[in-house]
Amino acid sequence: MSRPIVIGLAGNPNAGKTTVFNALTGAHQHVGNYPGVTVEKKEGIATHAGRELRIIDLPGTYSLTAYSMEEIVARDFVVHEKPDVIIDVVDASNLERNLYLTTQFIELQQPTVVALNMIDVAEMSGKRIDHELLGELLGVPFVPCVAARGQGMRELLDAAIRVADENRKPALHMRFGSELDCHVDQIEAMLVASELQSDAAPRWLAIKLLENDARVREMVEKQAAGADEILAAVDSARSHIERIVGDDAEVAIADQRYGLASGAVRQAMQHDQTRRIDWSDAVDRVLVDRVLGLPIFVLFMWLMFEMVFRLGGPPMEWVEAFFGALAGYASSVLPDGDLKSLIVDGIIGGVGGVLVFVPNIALLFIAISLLEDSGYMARAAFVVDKVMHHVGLHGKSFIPMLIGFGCTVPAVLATRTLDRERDRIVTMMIVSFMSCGARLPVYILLAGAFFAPHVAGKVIFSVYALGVAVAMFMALVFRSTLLKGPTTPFVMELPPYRMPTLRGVAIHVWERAWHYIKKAGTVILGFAIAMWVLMSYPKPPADMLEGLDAAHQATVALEYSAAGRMGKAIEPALRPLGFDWRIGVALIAGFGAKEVVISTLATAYSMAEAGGETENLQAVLRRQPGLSPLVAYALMVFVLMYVPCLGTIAVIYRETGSWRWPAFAATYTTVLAWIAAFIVYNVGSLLGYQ
Amino acid sequence: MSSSTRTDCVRCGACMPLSLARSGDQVVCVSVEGSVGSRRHLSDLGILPGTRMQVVSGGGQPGPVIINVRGAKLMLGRGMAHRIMVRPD
Repeated sequence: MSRPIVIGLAGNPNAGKTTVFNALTGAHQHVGNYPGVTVEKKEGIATHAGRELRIIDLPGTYSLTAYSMEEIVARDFVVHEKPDVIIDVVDASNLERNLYLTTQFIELQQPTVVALNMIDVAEMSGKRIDHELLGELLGVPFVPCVAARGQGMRELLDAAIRVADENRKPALHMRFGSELDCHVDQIEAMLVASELQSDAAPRWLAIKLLENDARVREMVEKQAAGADEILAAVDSARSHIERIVGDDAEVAIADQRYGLASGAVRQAMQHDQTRRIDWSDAVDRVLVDRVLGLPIFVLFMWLMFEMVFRLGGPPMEWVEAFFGALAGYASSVLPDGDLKSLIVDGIIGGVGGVLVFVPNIALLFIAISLLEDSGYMARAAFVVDKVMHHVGLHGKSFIPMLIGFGCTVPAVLATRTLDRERDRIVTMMIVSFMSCGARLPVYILLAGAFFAPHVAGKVIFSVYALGVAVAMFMALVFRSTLLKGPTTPFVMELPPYRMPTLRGVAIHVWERAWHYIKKAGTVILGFAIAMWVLMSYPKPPADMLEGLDAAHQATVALEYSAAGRMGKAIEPALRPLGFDWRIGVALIAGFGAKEVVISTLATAYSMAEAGGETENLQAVLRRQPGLSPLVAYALMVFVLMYVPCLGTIAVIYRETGSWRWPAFAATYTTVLAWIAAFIVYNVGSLLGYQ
Repeated sequence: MSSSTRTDCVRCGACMPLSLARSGDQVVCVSVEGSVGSRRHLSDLGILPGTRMQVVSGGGQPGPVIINVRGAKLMLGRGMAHRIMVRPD
């Protein structure tokens, strides 16, 4: 038994499948793509009882039809790859609906184990589930667990290994009532007779044909001997069923599946009605109330941002002090020259300037995670839908937009929950206006440098609010022009209220924060070094520097360098905005990753200051004659809006499959940024601001 | 198998779109209009002819509707709620 056991992890979205996956595989995961499609493929390794396990996290699906890419991928994997065992993760607090998918695994007649997850939530709402009885009724083992706390995982793997070793198929054969069964038998017999070669069992194919499954039908058409007769029989069976039952065959079949599910639930689950969560309904009524809903939502958002900025303050200072000390030490220890400059200004200055904001980012992700895990996020989407509907946006767009406040890349990926391509594209085009974590350092730096402490916070908030307003406005514009059409019908599950677990929140936050830190260590380090090189070379000839003091020498050197020349080249375009060439250099650097704007500014100005002093960057900026509160604000507006970072462009390309949209996003956002900064600077100047 | 069908609905007279039901109403789904895709989507989530539902909030008002169905809560947009025909339970 040296071959690893292959386990396919399936289940409804929100059933905790990913939590189970993480609990089983820990850090031993690998994310890729299924060939040819944009659906993610997550694989992981685990060991249990001396056996090696290869676990594949299949996309979350409600069913195994051929209507969405996720379902097709999940189904194809199960049918063609034939994992040794399927673990179907079922949400115990939502049992009947989750079992609908389980019945389809039973139809497939492949070794299956059900992970009855979130039993703690079910128990809290007064539901008592006899998992052994469920197992008997449905013919597959049910293992209760609470994946978020790591409970039940051992038993789950024990059961999975047992079922895999015995190749134990579900002990139940799906029945669809005499009428339907008769037709299933008939089609099955015809398929067997045609000796069709297929990974799937003929009975399953027969069911799918009666359901009018496009892919199975196509396969039969192409590969089965006597396909015409078979398909004719299928069509006539379907009309017969429709006449007798009064509805489409697929509805009849779905009805039977649900019948089995609800029958099993009725027998195996006791619902203590007195403990029923009617309080949940009452809470919902308040949270989504026509009058109260929106203000409550705004309150939560405000609390979230307060927490991020207030609590984030002290840790930020510690990190800043650390990097300041590090730079000071390096400065004193290294000999003067290019290497010292590279390390102190380029690397420590650049990367340090960005890592300072990890506490803030982490707090933001903690807040988002708390909102998601508690279940409030879905209610917020409901509240927000009423507003978003007016600009042609779908309520579900709200979640990518909220994630966009952390990082735009996962926000673009989150648009997958939207079914209509048009809705997805509109959301992708505006999500970068939800000012991401990378732009935040720029605001904090500039606002902190040029505005009094109690004003700085409001200034930053105004930038965020502007981003949201622009996003809404552009959505309206797009929906009226380029991307017209009806909105996706809105259907969304409202999960029960849960107490977020420390472990669950920690997992989410760690994933995203680690991603940010990794990005700092790699992409930003790379860009920081690249920018340092561009800003240091070519060096001016000695005679240009004669007679100038240290600060002037540094400025001339910067102007002479490659980066300086690029900045000078675009300076004419930036003058009307109040920006000079040094800002231009920083903005160019920001094309790669927004964090680099700060590190470039840090490098540019700390180099201009020369003398190797590690001074607070904000003080340095304040001293520059070309910079003022007004210019700072115009710059913040520009940074808010202009081109999404390279990572976002790349992921938009991947999700839309063409260069059109990422190119459009890059261009129109930059144009818009220019116009907005122009207005801010010039109107501000006219109004007498400095 | 449900006793109400699309053909019954025309005769029944007590049918209405879900969007017109009031908060607190217990209803039974009679039929689902719309494209094959959206009907399939709804049935995957548990809404079929014969399914019992309870309107939690948003009933009768413009905007989304929250319903209890099969022990879970779903939120349906106005467009969807218009297309689900129900009768009082």
